[in-house]
Amino acid sequence: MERAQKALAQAQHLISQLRFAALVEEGLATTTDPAKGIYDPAFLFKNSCEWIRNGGMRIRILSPTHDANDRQTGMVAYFDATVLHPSTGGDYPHELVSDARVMFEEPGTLGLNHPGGTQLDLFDLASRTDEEIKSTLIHEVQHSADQSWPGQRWVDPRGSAYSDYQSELRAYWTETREGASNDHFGSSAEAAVNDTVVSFTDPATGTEQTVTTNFRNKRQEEIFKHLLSGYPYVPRNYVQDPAFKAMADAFDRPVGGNLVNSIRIERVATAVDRCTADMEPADPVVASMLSTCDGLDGDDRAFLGDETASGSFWTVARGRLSPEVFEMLRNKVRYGTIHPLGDYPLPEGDVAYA
Amino acid sequence: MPETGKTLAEMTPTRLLLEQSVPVVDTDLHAVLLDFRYGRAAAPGGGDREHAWAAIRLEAPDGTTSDVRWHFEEKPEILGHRFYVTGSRSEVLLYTLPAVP
Repeated sequence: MERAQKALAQAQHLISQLRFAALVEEGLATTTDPAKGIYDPAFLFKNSCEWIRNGGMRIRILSPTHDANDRQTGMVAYFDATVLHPSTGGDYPHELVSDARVMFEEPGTLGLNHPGGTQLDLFDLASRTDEEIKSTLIHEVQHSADQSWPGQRWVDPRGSAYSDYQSELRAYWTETREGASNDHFGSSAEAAVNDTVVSFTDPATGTEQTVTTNFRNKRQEEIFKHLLSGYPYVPRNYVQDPAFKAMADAFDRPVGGNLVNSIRIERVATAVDRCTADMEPADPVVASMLSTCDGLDGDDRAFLGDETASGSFWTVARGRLSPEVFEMLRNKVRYGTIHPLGDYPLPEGDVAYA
Repeated sequence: MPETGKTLAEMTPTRLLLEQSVPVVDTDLHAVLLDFRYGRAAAPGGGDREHAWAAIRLEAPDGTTSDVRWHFEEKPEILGHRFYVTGSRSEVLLYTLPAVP
């Protein structure tokens, strides 16, 4: 009987792995419509699948064992922690022994994002809809693509709470299309209500402190409210750190280095990382960096062309490149050439053309 | 020792990273981060919420140890000390609280 139950768990696990693989293939094959803009979920999902396919983030699909609730008190046993997507299959020992293939997590866990954004664990996909899996992937890949973990290029130097808050706002803002039926948050075109009093009871003193929000738009406000109820560092920092509150109040739309989860933008940014401000335009490292821009597609250029939304990309690039090389990069991103449009080299000498 | 009279914002936490070796929590204890999970969990009533916990080993000078798994924002009392564990997706902060808040 137990063997049959285990075989059933393994079959369900294989179905989840194949279903996930099919979703990724579907995403990769999607033809997107540039007219729908850079926050089109189909476009973001396609980019997220490309991110995964190109090794930007490892994925583990974890399914409950047949005896998931009996192996460790209060925890659920999942398998197979040694199999990475796109590999399939999985096994675990019958015996209740420590084994690398079995991973324990608390009930209700949907996914784990490992430090650095390099690996994502997805639990019990059988209980989730395709739409949930897609929006989760867009959300979690953004946490990887935005390169804002400690030590990464677009981190906020003011601290982890700042980077993490901004990363969550970016991920929630983009995981669904604004105004769509599955969108949980309000309109960025509507003014914020600012009727929320945020409180925090200091565990050291037992004293409750409160502050009132000062947001600009409803979407920003509703994402904050979501974070307020489920992300404890948000109320703590919002109440106790005036600079954090000022940052959150002013962060009224996503700004990042790669809001569109593009592996091509990541390649350009990685190439920029290799440059230093004393490098001449003729330096092979600079030339190599500029050539990576040839891999950008129209949507990548549309995003990077909005230098407010992509502010992190340009701020870091400006710091790493000489002014001349920085302008070459800008032109290459905008126009596909290091010369701005209309700025053609003059012919040498006084040459008359017929 | 606990920083009596200070608010949390005024206190100095012990920052715990998985790669870190035995940071001092206070004059009596050391802490080792054994495991740290960060992710999303289903929230009661739908939606999702942060899911964060840290497994920490506290070591007293006499060799006594205590391994505990704390959810962020919990305030357990261990080895005669009150603690508060918090942080976000990329760090674990451990505060030693005064005996009576």
